[in-house]
Amino acid sequence: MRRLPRLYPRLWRDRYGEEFADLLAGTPKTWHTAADVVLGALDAHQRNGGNRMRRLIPWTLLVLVAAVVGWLNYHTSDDVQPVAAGLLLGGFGFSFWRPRLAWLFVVVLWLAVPLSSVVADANNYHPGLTKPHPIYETLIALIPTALGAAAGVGARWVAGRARA
Amino acid sequence: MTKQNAAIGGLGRFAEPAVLVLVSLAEGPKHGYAMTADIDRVSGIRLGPGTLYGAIARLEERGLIEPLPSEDRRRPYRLTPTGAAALRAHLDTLERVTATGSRRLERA
Repeated sequence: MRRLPRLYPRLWRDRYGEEFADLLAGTPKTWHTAADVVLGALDAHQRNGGNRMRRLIPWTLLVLVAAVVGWLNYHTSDDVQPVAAGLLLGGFGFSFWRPRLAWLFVVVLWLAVPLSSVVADANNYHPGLTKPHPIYETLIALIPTALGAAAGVGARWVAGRARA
Repeated sequence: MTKQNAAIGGLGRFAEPAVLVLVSLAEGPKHGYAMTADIDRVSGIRLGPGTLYGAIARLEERGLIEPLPSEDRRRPYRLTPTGAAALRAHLDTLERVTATGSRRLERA
């Protein structure tokens, strides 16, 4: 029972840990008490970690979108439109969300293309292509990514001006 | 719902323990152990440590109670003026509900 307060987040323990441990020491040690402390710890984690989780969601989404772009590029033949559309939309959406980080989104989204090309080359997987294109040709993928990001930054700026 | 009532109503499943904590602190500053004993005596409800501190953390966050300098490992809390107003508003609502319920039961 004495170890149960360790279930709480560190920030919470720094604030309430001593007084909580003192109260727990004077409380009858029953299953009900143990369950109450465990539920309290879950609640504290939810309250302390909720904001962190919410902050992580867009970044997780960025990784997922990059993975989808990479997957499309891996399976692409000579039709690169789905890849370009993914880069354009991804660049737009993320740059609209955080215009100041548009450059980072461009880099992360674009990296999915050369990385998936490297994997495809390593697996000798080139559907519809007679031979692999040089990796440097993937630089062209920067164009839709950067265009999407620029459009996102622009749209955010316009939205900000309209609100003001 | 008034602003004071909303302060307690927004506490979800911790609303009832929070009201019990506020009622206990209305008598004067108390630390966790004293609050638990007082609430048990007044209401017959024995709050577990997790529930009590879940309520305390929420009330402190909303400025309804505030900590006082700690005595050894025990930190007392006291009701703030905002907390007193929120408790008063909540009790007024409960009184109206109780009176209405009792009247309706008598008629039934």
